Amino acid sequence: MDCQKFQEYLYAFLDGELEENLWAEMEKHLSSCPMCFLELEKERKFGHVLKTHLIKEKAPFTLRETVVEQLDRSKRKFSWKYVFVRQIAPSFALLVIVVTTLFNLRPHGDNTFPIFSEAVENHLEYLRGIYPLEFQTSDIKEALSWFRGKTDFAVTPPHINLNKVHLVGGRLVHLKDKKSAYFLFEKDGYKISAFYTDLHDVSLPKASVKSGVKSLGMRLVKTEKGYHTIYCFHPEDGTACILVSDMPLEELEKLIV
Amino acid sequence: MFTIFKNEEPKESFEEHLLEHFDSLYNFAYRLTRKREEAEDLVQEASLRGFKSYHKARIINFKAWMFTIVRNLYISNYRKNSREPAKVNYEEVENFISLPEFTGFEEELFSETLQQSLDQLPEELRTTLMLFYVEELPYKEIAEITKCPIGTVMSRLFMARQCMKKKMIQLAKKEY
Repeated sequence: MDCQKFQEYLYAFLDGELEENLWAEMEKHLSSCPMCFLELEKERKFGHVLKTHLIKEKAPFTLRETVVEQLDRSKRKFSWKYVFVRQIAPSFALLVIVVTTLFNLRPHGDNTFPIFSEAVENHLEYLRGIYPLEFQTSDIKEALSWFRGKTDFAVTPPHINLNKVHLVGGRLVHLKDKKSAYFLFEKDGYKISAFYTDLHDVSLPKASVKSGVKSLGMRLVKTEKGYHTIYCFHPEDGTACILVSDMPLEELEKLIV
Repeated sequence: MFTIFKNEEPKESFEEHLLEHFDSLYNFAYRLTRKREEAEDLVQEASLRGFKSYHKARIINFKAWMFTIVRNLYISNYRKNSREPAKVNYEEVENFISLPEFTGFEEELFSETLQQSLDQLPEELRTTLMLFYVEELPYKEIAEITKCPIGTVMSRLFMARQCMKKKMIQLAKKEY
């Protein structure tokens, strides 16, 4: 290293910022060059003067007090914003997520439209003989005349091809606490229950994967406990016919009119 | 480059950090503005700005971070009203550097003389010199605060030293 090179790195050397690989060369040059050594000492002295004599102004106490007060005021303002942004907003968002999730995960069908499960339960109870038939006839006209005056709505033949099924009988039942007509049919050893009821003030169930309710043209179908329920709604008078059976759904669908 | 923003510190301690470095911040502001009143305003404004950003910023070096805020505010709000040029007059500095080297100046030069010399330096040189000698910050942190490469810090420091030598001689000859 020559003097020119030494001068180039002089300040980095003095300031402790010189790359490691140059340190040894600088020191080696210093030990052999009195002029550069003097130059270095002069600069070191100058740096020392600067360090020791440059006055570090002390902040006025009043400024310190003012800033602390301003920060306190800002903290109060900021805390509301901070609490809202960092705590309330996320908590609220979390709450919305939880509520939405619970809403979506809630049991569908039975809670929102229990008529399906209620029909199935009734179907089973009649099969078990818990509620015996109040009339037995294979004549649909006779059956309809039996219901006349017993319900708040006019009972019409259920949505089933009467030529392909055998009417066993029927009785009055309660679905959704409403007097309803119940028909029991038979087909190939399968029992088919037909509930005829007035649901004009009951909201319609909606077809969805979660609820397990499928749309079949103008009808809705749900299968639970191995029983198929087909819901046929009459929008013109608010009545509905609900068919329940454990016969294969495809076969049951063929019987619907 | 801006490692001063990388890591997080405890979020509750802005005031503690600020008060710990308050004198340094004020001194820095004062050296920038060279007016006590403006320095106080600058520190107040920087403190509030720092407080508002503190919860969002990722800070590893609070002091350097606050110095950056002070300097940015000074540049955007104060320097335009200042009498000094925004940029270093490098030709002028070159003249200082090319003057014959002085010898034998003494440590007894009074601090006021030094301060006067410092105050007469262009802002970029003044800031660099002060951050190095008064705040004893390494080149890297000075580069972060002043938003320039380390090489620029080195050249500014070099020019500032030469200017200080020259101005100190002038002042010394004039007053003593």
